[in-house]
Amino acid sequence: MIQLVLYLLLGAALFASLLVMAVRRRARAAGSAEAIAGAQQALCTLQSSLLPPELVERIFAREDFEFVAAEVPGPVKGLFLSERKKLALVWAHQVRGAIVCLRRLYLGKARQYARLDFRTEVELAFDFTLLLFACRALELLLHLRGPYAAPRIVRATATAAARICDISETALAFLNPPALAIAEGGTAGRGA
Amino acid sequence: MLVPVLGTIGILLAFLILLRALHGRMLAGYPCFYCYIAMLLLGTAIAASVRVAFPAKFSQYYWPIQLVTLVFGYGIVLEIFRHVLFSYPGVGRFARVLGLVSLAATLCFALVYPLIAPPSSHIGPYGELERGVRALQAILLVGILAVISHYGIPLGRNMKGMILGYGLYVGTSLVSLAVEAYAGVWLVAVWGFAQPVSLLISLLIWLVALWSYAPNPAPSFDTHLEQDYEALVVRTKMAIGALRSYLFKTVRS
Repeated sequence: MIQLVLYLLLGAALFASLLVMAVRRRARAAGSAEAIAGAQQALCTLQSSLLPPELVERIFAREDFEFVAAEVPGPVKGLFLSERKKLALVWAHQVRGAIVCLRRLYLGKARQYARLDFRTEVELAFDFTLLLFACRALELLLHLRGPYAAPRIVRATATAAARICDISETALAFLNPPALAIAEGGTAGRGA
Repeated sequence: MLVPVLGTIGILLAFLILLRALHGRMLAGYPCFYCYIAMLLLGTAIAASVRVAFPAKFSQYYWPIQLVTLVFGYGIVLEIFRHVLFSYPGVGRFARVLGLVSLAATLCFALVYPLIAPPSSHIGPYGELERGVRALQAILLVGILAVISHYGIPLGRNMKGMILGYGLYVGTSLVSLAVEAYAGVWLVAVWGFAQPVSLLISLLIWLVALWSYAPNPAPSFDTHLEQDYEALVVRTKMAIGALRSYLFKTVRS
């Protein structure tokens, strides 16, 4: 019986893999201008708009809710909670989307590298998957229990995403203005 | 009655695939795949002839032909490595390691399990051998597909159809043999058609996907990013490892 179950699970895994392959969108070219621009946009969005600590604290601050609960009638309190929940969900969704974009850049670079290490790649794939899973779990918690359900997870996710940004910034450093200016100066010299 | 009809249709489809390959000059493009199709055509033709002329001796011919075709089926895996993964040496090596790990795991399971489990099979030793090889092929395909999907490696129409048709046939064969071995002869009447029908569907997929030569998209290696990948990996591993333990510590508290 165990053998039958194992074989059936293997068959199901194969059919699921084939389905994923059949419906998969065409992969973007590695290192294409679009992929790099998307990654840099994601990085900028994360660093300037989504992850500043004061913004995260503001969105998830209980003080606002306590003030509203004490000062205004019930329906307004309900409206406040509903709007703040929407805001929190949009924040979590955008953070996850930006991390996906940065992961795509990372995988695009890995694809071209000739000396990939098996164990390293498995560990990194596992770690990225876990981080994205944590973002999904946070979205679910916020959806089910409101914007004040998991403040520590919010802080942890924000910190995790900020560290990913630091690493991705290194990979995209060539797009910074000084590097571009040097490149343009070199090109002009060769053309003259 | 139905099985001979399915066999005839299969022979015609395999013949059409080879004819189209000759006409489109694709034999040199996918030699291992077309060797498999040729072997499939020859094997099916021999089996069908023996079934008609010497029905009592059919089983003596069927399993050896099936096993030889099984071995030739690995040619499709070779084509995947040649056309899809060759341009990405790191990812290709990664897939080969995954294949070796899955081979080792399957061999261990195949050697150890019969020693501890009671013998119970309605499909005989040849059927069990085919089931084991199909399981190995399935594990290999799942691993390769996982690597292709994870790294976003593009697939052309030819390779996509080749993988889809072969995966469908391998998966159906594995499931039907596993169910037959467990459930017994009474289920053969139903599941006995699963393999031939899935083979026909696979042949149709191959005929359509390989109607004309459509090579895999060439990789566009960027020359602008000249970062040290190893340094990036080390930093990323350290950062994510630290963050993971921080995240779980926070959740537990």
